[in-house]
Amino acid sequence: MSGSKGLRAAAACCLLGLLSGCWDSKDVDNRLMMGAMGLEKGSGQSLNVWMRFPLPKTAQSTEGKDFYAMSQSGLTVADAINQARYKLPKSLDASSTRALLLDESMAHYGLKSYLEFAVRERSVPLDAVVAVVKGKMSRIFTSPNPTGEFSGIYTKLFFEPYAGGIPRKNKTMLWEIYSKLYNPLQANLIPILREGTQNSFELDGNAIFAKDRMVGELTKDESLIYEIITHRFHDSEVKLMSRSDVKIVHNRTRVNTELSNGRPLIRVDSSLIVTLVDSSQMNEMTEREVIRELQEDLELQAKSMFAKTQKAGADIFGFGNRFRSRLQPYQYEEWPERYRSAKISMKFHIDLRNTGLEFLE
Amino acid sequence: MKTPPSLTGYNMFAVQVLYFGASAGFIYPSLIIRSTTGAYWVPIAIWAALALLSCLLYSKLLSLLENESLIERIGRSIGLPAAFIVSLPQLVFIFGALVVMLRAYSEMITMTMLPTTPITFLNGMLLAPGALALAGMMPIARAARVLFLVSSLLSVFLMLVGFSDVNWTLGGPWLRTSGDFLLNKNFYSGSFIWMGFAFTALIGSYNARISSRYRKSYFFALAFSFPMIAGFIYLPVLTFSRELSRHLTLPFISKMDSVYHYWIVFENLTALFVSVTMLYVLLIMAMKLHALGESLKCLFPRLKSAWIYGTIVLLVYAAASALPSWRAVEGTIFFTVGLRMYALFGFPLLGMAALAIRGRRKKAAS
Repeated sequence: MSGSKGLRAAAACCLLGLLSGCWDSKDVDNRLMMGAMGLEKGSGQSLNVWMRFPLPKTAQSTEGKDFYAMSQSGLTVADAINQARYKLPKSLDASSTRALLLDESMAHYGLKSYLEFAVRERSVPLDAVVAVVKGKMSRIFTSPNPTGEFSGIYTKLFFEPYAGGIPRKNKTMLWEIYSKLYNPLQANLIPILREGTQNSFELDGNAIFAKDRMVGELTKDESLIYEIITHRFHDSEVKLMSRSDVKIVHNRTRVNTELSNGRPLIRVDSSLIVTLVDSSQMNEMTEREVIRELQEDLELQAKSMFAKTQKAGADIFGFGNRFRSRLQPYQYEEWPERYRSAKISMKFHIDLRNTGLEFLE
Repeated sequence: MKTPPSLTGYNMFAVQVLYFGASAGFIYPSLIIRSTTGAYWVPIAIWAALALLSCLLYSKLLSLLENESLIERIGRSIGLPAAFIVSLPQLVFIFGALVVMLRAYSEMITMTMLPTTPITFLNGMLLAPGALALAGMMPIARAARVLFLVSSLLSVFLMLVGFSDVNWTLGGPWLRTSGDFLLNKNFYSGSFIWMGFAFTALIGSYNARISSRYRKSYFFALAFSFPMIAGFIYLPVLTFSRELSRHLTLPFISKMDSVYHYWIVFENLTALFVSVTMLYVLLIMAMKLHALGESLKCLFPRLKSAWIYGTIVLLVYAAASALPSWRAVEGTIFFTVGLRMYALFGFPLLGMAALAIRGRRKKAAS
């Protein structure tokens, strides 16, 4: 064998070292993949982190539980996760987390410092759904889901438009929340879940945040107006006082803004196309009456919603972003105050497309 | 000496697009977003205009050649020692660009996918471009043609998917600018993405016809890549707002992390983006190594290619491994601004002056 051939052979042998594997490799069998994470306020400066891990069939115990849940306190989320590792036989992997649940106490205390870890280290996916929880976090994390889905997936499906999601549930992802914590021109609106009696949890409304603290709540119907304005809407049913039911099937909403002597003027025009689902035979109504009632109902909800958000100085709609070119960057921080004094009007233009397979006479 | 082959127009176009793909996706968005509170397209457009001007200078210089390589001709005009002095800042600039590209990409992998894998191991990826560079210009050109098709299609896909969840009101101010970026070092640091033509000028042989091809292919590549460059900057801003984007080390990576669609087959778009960027980076590092190697070969004709390339690979690897942190990478980009300015304007002007001396001597002799 010539010298150069020997050298090449030696170089090729060196490449065999690569086959020993990657420094970061961990077999899936040796991981505990977190499905859902819950954060609640602990004593003093600490917080309590709840974790729920789906278990593969082969690892399930005779109790038949398809998950393992645990909680761990720590000064930060990363600290709690590190401490949890002292107790686990497998590698704790948060990169598959589908849902992040925040206890109400945490929401009142402030979120920013507790969410930073997810963005900085990419430990939790930015597309994980986030919700505020009222009630016992322990029960939500330790009870099986009655509908049988994996933990995490269950919460995700609860919000996803392709599964159980409806507009009022206001699916909110981690990156949306985190970006609004930095943006002085827009505030967060995060869904609130209440511990359920028939199921793990149920929708209670939506939490209004000013900066990183919860300052109020929107009802489910007020949340619908928020969805209409922010174009998150797909289709939704509205129950009227007369017990009629209409379905909004199309939404076209335009927002016009101007600055008059430093005071923001915001006009929202919403064109809705609706169909009749149930006329309620008890109160015979004409098409015109159904539309008028829907309009009055929506206007009432809008007025109440704007009053709540303006009082809190929380522009959850992001109207402030429309003023980026008209305000100087140093004025952005003043937006919550400007929003309080803003003149906001909302008009609805409603067309009843059809009354289903039965005429309304 | 045997005349080196020249790149075709399509090859040059592919290489330039790959260069933009390799350099605009990871460090650059953060630099531009942090450089101004006004419209982002203004600093981008200013550098694009300066790059076009510089490309015209290079094109003029290359048109003076007669089927020969640039460094070789400069060497024949003013002598090898003088040519070495004129070329030295250019060579140091290419060396610095190689070190920064290698380390920045390794750092990106560390931050996103392999946190505990040693940087020294990741830097070992330089072996592949080193081998390609040693193989010569045509293997690089052929690889560029293939990678251009694969990577640009995937990049377009990622850009289109990135348009989901954008909020156009977050992009403002769209027109207003105060010129604040002129006093910001990040504006000057961002100059590195416009310099693909400075590398290709050192590869292959040129004459007036090829020089025109060189100029046109850069113009077309810039026009083709401009939306991609703007996308790398604006997509994170239109998703996360200017305020959060300023705090992100790799804004486009975070943007890819945020994309979620039920119908997308790939669960991890970030991994896809990192892989596509790797194709860009490997090819461009090969091109830079080849430019550096060929230039040194012209300046030191007695040295063997294998030794030149082997030494360059080792030095780049050592320098990239020696950088202690991401801040050091950013610092290196900033502190090499002077070298980039020299490469953009000083080198082609001095090159033209050198060739003019030779012309005058010829005239005087005749």
